[in-house]
Amino acid sequence: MAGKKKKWIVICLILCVIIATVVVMCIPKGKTGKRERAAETLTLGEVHTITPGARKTMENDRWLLELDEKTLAITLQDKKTGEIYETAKDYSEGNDIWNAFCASGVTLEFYSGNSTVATRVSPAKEAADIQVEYFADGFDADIAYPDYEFSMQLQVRLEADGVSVYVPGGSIKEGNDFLLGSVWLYPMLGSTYLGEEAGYMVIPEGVGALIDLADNHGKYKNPYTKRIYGGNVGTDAAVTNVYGEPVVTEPKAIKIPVFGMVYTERKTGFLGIVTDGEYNAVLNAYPNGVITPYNWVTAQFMVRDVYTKQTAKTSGVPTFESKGDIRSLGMRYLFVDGDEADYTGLANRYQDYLVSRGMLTKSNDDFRIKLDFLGADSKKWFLFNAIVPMTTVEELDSVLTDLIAENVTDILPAYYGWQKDGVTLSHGSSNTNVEPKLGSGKELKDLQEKLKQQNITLNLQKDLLLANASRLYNTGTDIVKGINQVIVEVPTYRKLFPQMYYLTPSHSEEILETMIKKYVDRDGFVLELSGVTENLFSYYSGGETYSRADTVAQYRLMLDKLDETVGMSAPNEYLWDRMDSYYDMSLATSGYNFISSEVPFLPIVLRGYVPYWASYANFEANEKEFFLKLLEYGAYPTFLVTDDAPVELRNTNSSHIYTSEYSVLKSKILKYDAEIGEVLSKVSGVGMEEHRYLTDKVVQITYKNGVEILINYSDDDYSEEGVTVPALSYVCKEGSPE
Amino acid sequence: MREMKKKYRLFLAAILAIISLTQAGTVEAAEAPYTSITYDKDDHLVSTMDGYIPSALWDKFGEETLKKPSDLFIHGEELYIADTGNGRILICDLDGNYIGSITEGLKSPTGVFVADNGKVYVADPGAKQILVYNRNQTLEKTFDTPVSPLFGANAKYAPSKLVVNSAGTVYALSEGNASGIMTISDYGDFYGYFGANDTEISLANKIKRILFTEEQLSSMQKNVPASATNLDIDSTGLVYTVTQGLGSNGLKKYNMAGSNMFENAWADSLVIDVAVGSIDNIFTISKQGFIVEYTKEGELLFYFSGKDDGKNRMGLFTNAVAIDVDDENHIYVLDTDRNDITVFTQTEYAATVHEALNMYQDGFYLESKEPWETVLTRNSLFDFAYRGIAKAQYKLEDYPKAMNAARLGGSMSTYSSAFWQIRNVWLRKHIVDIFWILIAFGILKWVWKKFGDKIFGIRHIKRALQAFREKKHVREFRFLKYVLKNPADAFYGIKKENKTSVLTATFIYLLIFAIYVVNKYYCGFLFKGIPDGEYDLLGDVLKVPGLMLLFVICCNMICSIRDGEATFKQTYMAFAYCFMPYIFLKPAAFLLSHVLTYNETFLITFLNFTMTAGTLALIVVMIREIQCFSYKETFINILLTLFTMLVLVAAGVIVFALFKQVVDFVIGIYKEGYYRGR
Repeated sequence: MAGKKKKWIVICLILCVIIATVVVMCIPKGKTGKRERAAETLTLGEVHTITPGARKTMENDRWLLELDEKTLAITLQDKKTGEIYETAKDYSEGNDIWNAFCASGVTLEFYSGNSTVATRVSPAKEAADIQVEYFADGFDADIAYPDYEFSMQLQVRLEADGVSVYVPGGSIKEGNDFLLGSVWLYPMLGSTYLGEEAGYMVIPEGVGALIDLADNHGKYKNPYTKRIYGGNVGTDAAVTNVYGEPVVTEPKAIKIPVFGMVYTERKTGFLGIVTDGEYNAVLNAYPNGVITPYNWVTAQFMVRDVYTKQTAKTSGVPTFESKGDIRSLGMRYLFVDGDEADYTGLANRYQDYLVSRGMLTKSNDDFRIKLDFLGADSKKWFLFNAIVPMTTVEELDSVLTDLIAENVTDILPAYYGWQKDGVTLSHGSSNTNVEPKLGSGKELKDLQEKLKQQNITLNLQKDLLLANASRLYNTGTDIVKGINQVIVEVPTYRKLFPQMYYLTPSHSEEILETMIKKYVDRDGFVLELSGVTENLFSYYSGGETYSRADTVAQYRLMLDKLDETVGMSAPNEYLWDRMDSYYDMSLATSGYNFISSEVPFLPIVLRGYVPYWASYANFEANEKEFFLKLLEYGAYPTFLVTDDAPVELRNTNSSHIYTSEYSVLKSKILKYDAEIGEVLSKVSGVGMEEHRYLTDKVVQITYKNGVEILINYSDDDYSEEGVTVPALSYVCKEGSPE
Repeated sequence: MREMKKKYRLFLAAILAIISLTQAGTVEAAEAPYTSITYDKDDHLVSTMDGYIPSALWDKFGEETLKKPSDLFIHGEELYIADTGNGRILICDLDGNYIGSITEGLKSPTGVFVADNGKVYVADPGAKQILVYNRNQTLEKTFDTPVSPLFGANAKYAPSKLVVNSAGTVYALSEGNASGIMTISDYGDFYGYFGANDTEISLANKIKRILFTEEQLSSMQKNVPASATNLDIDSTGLVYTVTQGLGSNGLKKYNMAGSNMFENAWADSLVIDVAVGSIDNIFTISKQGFIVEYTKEGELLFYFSGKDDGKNRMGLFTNAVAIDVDDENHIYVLDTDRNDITVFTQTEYAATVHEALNMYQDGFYLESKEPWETVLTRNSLFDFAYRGIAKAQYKLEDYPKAMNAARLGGSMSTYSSAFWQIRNVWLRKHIVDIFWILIAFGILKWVWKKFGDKIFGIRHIKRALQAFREKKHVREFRFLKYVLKNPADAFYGIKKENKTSVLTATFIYLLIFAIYVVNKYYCGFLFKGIPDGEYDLLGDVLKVPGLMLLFVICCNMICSIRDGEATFKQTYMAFAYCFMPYIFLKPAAFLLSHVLTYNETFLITFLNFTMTAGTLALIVVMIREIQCFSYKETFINILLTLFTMLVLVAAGVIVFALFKQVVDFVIGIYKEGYYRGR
C-alpha cells in the first residue's frame, strides 16, 4: 500500500515538473525588457523595397526597413522624402577590425584574461549565430557567439518618427572566460563620407556644440568621446592636487543623453536619444580623419569599466570590473526634415520628447537675478580653525533691503556657507544649525518671512555630496569608496583643505531629511541642491558594489522626500522631473578644436519650461561678451555676493573668489537687472523658435511669441534693412506671432 | 502696406536662410580651458581673472602646412614662421592667410627675425649660417663661422636663434656654444660674446676642488654655464634671454653693458621662448605650454595655459616652441608637434590692467589710479593694483589710505613712507601732551618714593608688592637681573646655591616661546617676517622649544662624556637664564616695531644684534661655569654639541622615513595579497 502511494507521489512530482517547464518555456523571451511587444502577424512588404531583390522589407506608414542578416546592418528609407540612411559603410582600405566595425550593425567588445585591452567582435568579420524573427515594423535578432559564450537579443522597430533599437538586459548572457566590455549599436547610422555632405553633428557638449561635416584633411587626431552625465569617480584614476601652476579645467559634462546630425543641403537630420543604459554610455563623435574617413556620432554602451586596482599605497594595476553592470540598452532615432532640420529643431524635438515623458514640466519662468550670498568660510588660526564671516544674516538683510530700495525686486537670493563652521568645514557635517557668527536660526527665519511678504524667496543652498576630509566619518557606510575599495578623494586645488570625500547616497539622504525636517517643513525654507545633482558615480560601500544606475535610483528616492520640485545646480537629465530651476549653467563648451560653433542646445531644450541661470557673472574676464551671451541664450544672471571684501577669504578654501563685495558689484547688479530683465521678461515662459548666425559675429534669436533679439558680438555696427545693431550690443524687436 | 511688410519679412527670412547656410558661426571660445594665476604680495600664486583667451587655431595657411616649425616672428601685419622641417620661412598675414615663403639657401632654419627696414634674418644651424634677405626676400648676404680669435678656436658655430638691433648688429645664439650671445656687426665682424649665464659651483665640487689632485680635477666634468634657450630684443635695443633650469633667475634683461637688470625674474624650468610686447611687457612660454606675462620690471602678471591632455582643447599645447605678440596684444604660440599656431586674444580685464600698467610704469601714478580701481572692481585680490593705488594716494597726500593700500599690496617702502608721514603729523600734534605725561609721571614717581610710606593706600600696595617680590618663584625669576650683573657668579649660584628651580626655568622657557610667537605674528607690519594671516604653530614649537630642548640634551650628553660637572637639571635651569637678553630686549624691539619706519630700522637691528650676541656669550659662560671647563674645552663642547644635534636630527629623519617605508610596505603586501587572492 505504502509502495503504491509512493509511486503516485513520484508520478505527481514528475507531472508537476513537466507542467512547470512547459509554462516557463511558454513565457515569451525578454521578460525583463520593459518594452515587450507581442508578436504581430507577419505581413511582408510585397510592394515596397529599398534595394531590388531584397529579401525582407519591413515598413510602417512613414518608413521602410531592410536588414542584412549576416551583418545586422539596416537600411532605412523615409517614404515621405525618399531619404535613405544606411548603417553599413565600406572602409576596406582600413584595417579588418575597423572595416568590420563600419560594416556591422552591432559590435561587441570583450575582456579576457588579465588584459584590459578589449577585443572587438563584429559579425561582418566573425560570423555570429543569428536567428531573426520578423515583424511588420521591425525584427528581433537573437545573436549568439558560442566561441565567446555570449548571446543577446537585438530588437529593432520602426516608429512613427524614426526607429528604435533595443537590447533587453535579460537577454544578455555571458560566460566566464569572456566578459562583455561594451556594446555598439548601429554606430554608423547617418554617417557621412569626408566632406561629401554639408551639415554638422550636434553634441551635447557643455551648452551645445556643432562639429562641421567638412573635409578635415586629417587635421584631427582624437575623437570626441565622453561619458554621458560626467566622469565616474568610482573608476576613474585619482586626480592629483596641483598648486603653483595653472590648472587645466575639468571639461564640461554631458547633461543630456542625446546627439544629432543635420544635413543642411538636403534639409534632413536626426536626433539620437539614448533611452536605456544611458548611465554607462559614452558619447562618441568621430570627425572624418579620426581613424576612418567618415563623420559619425553614436553612443557606446559600457558594461565594464577599467579601473586601477591598488596593490600598494600609491600604485596599482589596471583591471576591468569583475561584476559588470548588465542592463537593457536602447536608442531612439527621431528624424526631422524641412525647417525642423537644424539644431534648434532638434532641441525643440527633444523638448517635446521630454515633455511627453513627463521629465519636463512648466514652472515659474519669470526673470529673476540670482544672488548667491556666501555666509562664512574658515581659515587656520594657530592650531584651530577660525570662522571668517563674510555675510551675516543681518548684512544679508541690509543688502536685500538696499536692493529693494533701488527698486530691484525680481531677485532670487540664495544663502550658502550658512551652516555651522562655514562652507568648507560644514561639508559632510550633520549639524545643520546656522553658524553662530552669522546669526541665529530665528534671525534667518525672520528674514525669510520678511522677504516672503515682498514676494521674494530665500533659498538655502546645500551641497549634499562633498565631505570635508578633515572630519571624522564612518568610512564603511558614509563615504564613497571607489570600485577598488579605496576612499575617493577629490582635489580642491587649495592648500587648506586639499581633498574632499564624497558622501554615499544613503548618508546624503540622512542629511537631507534633517534639513527638510528643520528648514522646509518647520520654517518653510526653499532648498537649493548641488553636488548630488551634477555628479554620478559607481561606488563600493558596506561590502556592496553599486552601479551608476543604482546611484540614480537612490538619488531619485532621496528626492522623493521633498514634496515639491526644487532648484538644482546643473542637474543631469534623470532628475529633471524633480527640478523647477536649473542653476549654474555653463554657457560655454570645453573648447575642443574640432568644435565649429557653440550653440544654445541645452537652453533651447529648457526654454519656456524651466528657468535657467548662468554660472557666476563675477569672474567673466570679457564682461561685455558675457552680458550679450546671457541675452543670446536666454539665461538669467547669477552673482556671488559677500558683504565683506574678498580679501578676507585669502587664507580660506574660497581663496579663488577675487571679486564678490556687494558695494563693488552693486552697479553691475543693477545694470544686469534692468537691461537683461527688460529683454528676457518679454519671453518668459516662451520657447525659442529659431537661433541662427547671420554673420560670424551676429546672431538672431526668434522666440515663439515673435520677439526677436539681434546680438552683435563684433567691433563694428551691423545694419540690415533699416535695423542697426551697434557694436557689442543688441536690439530687441517685439513682433506678433504669425 | 501689411502685404508689403509680409513680403519684406519673407524676403528677409530668405536672405537670412541663405546667409545662415553659407556661414557657420565661429564665435570665439568664451571660456579658457585653464585657470589663470598671478603672484600676490607674499609670493603666493593666486587665482585671477583670465588675461587671455584662445581665439583661433591655424594649422593650414592656404594649402600650405608646417612641418616641425621652430620659430615665429611678427613684423607689422606679417607673421614669419621658421618652418624647419620644410626648410623655408613661411610668411602669412595676421589672419593666417598665406602670403609667400623664402627658401633660398635654407636647410633647416630655426630662428627668424625681421628688422625695421624689412630685412629678414634667418638662423640656420643646418647650413651653419646666418642668412640675410633684403626687402624683396632675395638673399643679400650670409654670415659664416667668424674668424676672429675672440670667437674661440674650438667654439661651435650653429646659429639657432637671433635678434637684430636698429644698427644692424646681430645677437645670435649658437647650438652647443655656452659662451653667451654672439654679437656680429652688420658687416659680419664678430664683436664678442655677451650676457653669458653664471656657473654655479656646488658645495661638493668646492670641496673636491680643494682636495683633488690636478689629474683628478682634469677628469672631472667641466662646469659649463647653462646656455640661454632663446632671446628677444625690445624697441630700445635691450636684449632679453630665457634659460631653462634656472628657475628664479630664468628671465634676464641685459643693459648695454651686458649686465642683468632683473634681480629675480622667475621662469619655468622648461622655458623655451621670450617675446616683448607693445608696452614692453614680456611674455615667455615653456615647452609644456605655460605662458607667463611679466611687467617690464620683470614682475609676473598672468600665468596661464598648460599641457594638452590629448583631448584637442584649444589653448593648450603638446610641445610649444615659440611665442610672439602683435600690437593689439594677441599672443601667437607655435606648437612644433602639432604643427599649428594658437592665437590668444586679451580680455577686457587684461586690457584695463595694461592701460593702468602703462601709465604706472611711466610714472603717471595719479592717472593710473582710476584704471587700477576698475581693475580692483573686477579682481579685488590683484595686489599690483593696490600698489598702484598706494602710490597714487601717497601723491594725493591721503596717507592713511596710502598705508592701507600699501599693506594690501605688500609695498613696504610706500607703507613706510606713508606711516612716517602719519607719525610725523601725530608727533607734531601730541608732542606737548607727551611732555606733560612725562612730567606727570616724574612727579608721581617722586611722590611714590617720598611720601609712599605715609599715605595709607600706597603703603598697602607697596607692602603687598614687597611680599610678592619675596615669593620663591618670583625671587627666582628676578634672579634673571643678576645674570646681567655677574654672569659667572649667577650661573655658579644656579648650580650650587639653588637660586632657581625647574619650575621657574620651565616658566622662563614658556615665556621665551610666548615672546617669540607674539613677536612673530603680531609685530609691526614693516618688520614682520611672515605674511598676514599665516600661522604655523607646530613649526614654531619644533623650532623654539624643540631646538632648545635638543640643545640641552645634547650639551648634557657631550659634557658628561667629557667630564663636565653639571647635571641635566642644572644645565636645563642655567640654559633658560642664558636668554635673559632675549626676554628683556625682544619685547622692546616688539614695541618699537609698531612705531618705527624703515628710516629707523637700525634701532631694531641694533637691539636684535645685542640680544643675539648677549645670549650667545651667556651660553658660553654658562657652560664654562657650570661644567667647570676652560674656554677651549667649552668651545670644543659647543661644537660637539652642535654636531650631535645635527646627527640626531638626521637620524630622526631617517628613522621616520624608514618607518613610513615599512608602513607602506605592509599596506602594499596586504593590498597585493587581497588583489591576488580575490
